[in-house]
Amino acid sequence: MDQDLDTAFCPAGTGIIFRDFGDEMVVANLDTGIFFSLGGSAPAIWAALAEGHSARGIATAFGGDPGILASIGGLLGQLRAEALLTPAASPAPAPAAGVAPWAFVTPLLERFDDLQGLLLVDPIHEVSEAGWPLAPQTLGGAG
Amino acid sequence: MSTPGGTGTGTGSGTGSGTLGISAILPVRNGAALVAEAIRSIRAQQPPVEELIVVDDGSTDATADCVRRADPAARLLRQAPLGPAAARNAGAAAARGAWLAFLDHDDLWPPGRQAALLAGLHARPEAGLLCGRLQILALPGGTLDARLRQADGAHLPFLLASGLLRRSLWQAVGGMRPARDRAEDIDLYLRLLEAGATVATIEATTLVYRQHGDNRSRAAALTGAALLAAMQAAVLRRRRGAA
Repeated sequence: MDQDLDTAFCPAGTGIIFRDFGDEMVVANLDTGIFFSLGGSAPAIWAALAEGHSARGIATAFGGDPGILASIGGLLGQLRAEALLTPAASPAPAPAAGVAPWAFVTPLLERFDDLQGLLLVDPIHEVSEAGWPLAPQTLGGAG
Repeated sequence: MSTPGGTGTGTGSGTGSGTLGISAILPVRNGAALVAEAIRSIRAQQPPVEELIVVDDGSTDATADCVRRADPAARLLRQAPLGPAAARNAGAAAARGAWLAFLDHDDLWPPGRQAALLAGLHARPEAGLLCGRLQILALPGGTLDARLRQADGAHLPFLLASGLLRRSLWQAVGGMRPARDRAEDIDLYLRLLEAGATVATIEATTLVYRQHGDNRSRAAALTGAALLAAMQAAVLRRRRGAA
């Protein structure tokens, strides 16, 4: 939707985690178990969107070509459809000058559902010198 | 009951020796408070497992003594602290059974688990990974958030302790990767899927998963990097495979 182009977004909750691997971004939704690989300019776009920059502002930073705005709007629509982004409480900031110092490359979004519905239990384990899967002293006298 | 065999993905089957062919593996570091309880839950199973291997990953508490007292027949392997993946690899390398069955020292196998899984193997001989349902319990200090409440009764096959994994399949994918510790089971599960493993489920509860503290939200915020790295590794493997 056109109004989304001027809206500020943020990751849709603490279940959305992401990491930049340089030439790609991986975004995971712990609530659904679905994860995504973002390629092309999508990592930079995701990072800027997650910081609250609007799609239109990001397109401006990429040079403002109408085709680029449409492409970013398309990606935004996909991210919204996957419930990865939600409107932010704060209004969209000024155009994100300097967020995209590189040339625009068609953004790519790949979806992987191998883990769909499976990340309900702690998929991220605490490991420390004190012990694992947990240090006994954290049990509060259990056991 | 005869040895569960099958021709599932991977190679190998039952031991053919008339034993059940299931090796229980319990990796632990500094788990003296709970390890005996976990061992008892394994030894209470009928039919019994073929062997129990406890891998003590450099404990500095009384874990080894607790293991010896709780079960003199258990094979206790002690090693320098190398982490969860390396400990499981050590246990699997020492295993003789055709099937691997893991248990973390803070969780429990519920009564009837072994019989239910064996029945499942006979019903689904093609399975490479067979799992049952979870029961989620909160230990003192533990809290069950909405996601964990949803997990109660669910099948989560990446949790190896919820079922059985064919040892030949484990070997075919090279076991766990210590570099993926903190998300080593997700990494293994993704590689098993890529290897074409047949994942089957049974209706019975096969793991009592005990939640403690509120480590999950903290961990998700601070160390989700490990999980995301395992996912990115899967993306790269698939690209290479498709190329």
